[in-house]
Amino acid sequence: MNFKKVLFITLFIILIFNILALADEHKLPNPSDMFYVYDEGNILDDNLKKYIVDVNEELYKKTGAQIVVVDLKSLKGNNLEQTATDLFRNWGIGSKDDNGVLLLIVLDEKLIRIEVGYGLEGAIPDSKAGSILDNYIEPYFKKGDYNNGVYNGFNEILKLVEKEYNIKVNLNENVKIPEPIHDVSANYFQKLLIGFILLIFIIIDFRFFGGIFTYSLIRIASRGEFNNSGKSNRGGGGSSGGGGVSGGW
Amino acid sequence: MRKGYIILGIVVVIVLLPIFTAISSYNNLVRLDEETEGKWAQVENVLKRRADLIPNLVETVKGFTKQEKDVLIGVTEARSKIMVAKTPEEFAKANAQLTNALQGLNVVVERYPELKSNENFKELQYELSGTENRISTARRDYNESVKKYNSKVRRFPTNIFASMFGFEKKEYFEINESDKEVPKVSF
Repeated sequence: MNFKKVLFITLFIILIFNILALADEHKLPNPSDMFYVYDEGNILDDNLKKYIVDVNEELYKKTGAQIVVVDLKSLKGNNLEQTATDLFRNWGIGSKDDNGVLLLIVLDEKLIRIEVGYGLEGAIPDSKAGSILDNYIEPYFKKGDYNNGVYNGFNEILKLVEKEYNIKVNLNENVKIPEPIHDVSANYFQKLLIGFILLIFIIIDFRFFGGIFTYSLIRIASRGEFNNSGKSNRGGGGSSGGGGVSGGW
Repeated sequence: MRKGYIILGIVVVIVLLPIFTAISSYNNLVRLDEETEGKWAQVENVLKRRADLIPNLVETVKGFTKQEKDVLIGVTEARSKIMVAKTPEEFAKANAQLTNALQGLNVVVERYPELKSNENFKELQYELSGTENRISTARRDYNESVKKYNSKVRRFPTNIFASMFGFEKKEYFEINESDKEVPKVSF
């Protein structure tokens, strides 16, 4: 067996593992670059995301509190509450006094949860969180209007946090919430297809070009990863004890 | 002379090595022991929190249902067992009993639409299900820390020092298989 063959087999195995990793959806997502919004289902408008990020940056500066909005396509058979707690802790939402809030939306299962960190359980007791779900979020979600549901729910949570710290987040901007969007793209089949195209590309590359393209792609990919590390997670290190409420629509 | 130094060095190392190992093992065990104690305090805290909601719940339900005394007595009894429980096992048993009693109540409540739409009752329902989830989170955290602690206590060479300093294996907060899922108290 020569060197090239060994390398080829190694790359092939790595590729298979990558495809498996794409298929294995149990892994919790990492925070997005924005940190405060993670929009896997692509249901939120850019204006709304910007609003959430801007408010949070101001809020974090003043109080250390963080209100993170996450939507996932599916729980993949996992438990809603445990997923919320794990996300909360992995991302470290809130600061050292655990003053974080996570609004988690799961689209396929139509489930929603407001998870509240220890430090804010007094400001946002379960009954209050429950009425936010009932009155400000679910009515919009039932009509398919995710943007207004998230916008109103987020603002209600924000009001309670502002009251707790006796501050006001002032933003000189008006948020325009557009009409509901129904668009969920990129499914499992597409990922598989991309995997196969990659595989064929690598085979051709090694057969005719000695793997030049593959090598340089790997080099680029690893450099990109290097650049990305360290800046994506901006949680303050908060934790949660499973407080909050769950609901559906 | 030189040979003497070497022998002395070896003897010193042989004597010091177990001492250092013992110190670091001991400190590790203390740290893990403290950790499980802290997590356990949280479990007790949330169990009591749920128990504290019960009197209010019973009062609210009583106002709407005149003939369902048995179910309410069952709930109250289960609650009092949590208040007197001492060991993790006792707590786990009492907690499972309370969960069952609440499920019985759940069935009864279905027959009273006015109760289900009562504001006070709705708030209690959120507090109750929120507390159930806090219990399962605290239980998970506690059991994980016990697992870490127990494996340290049993593993060589720490096990020697563990028995020397009196560190014993700890109980998990466990319930029977059928109660493994988070109990859903939705009225």
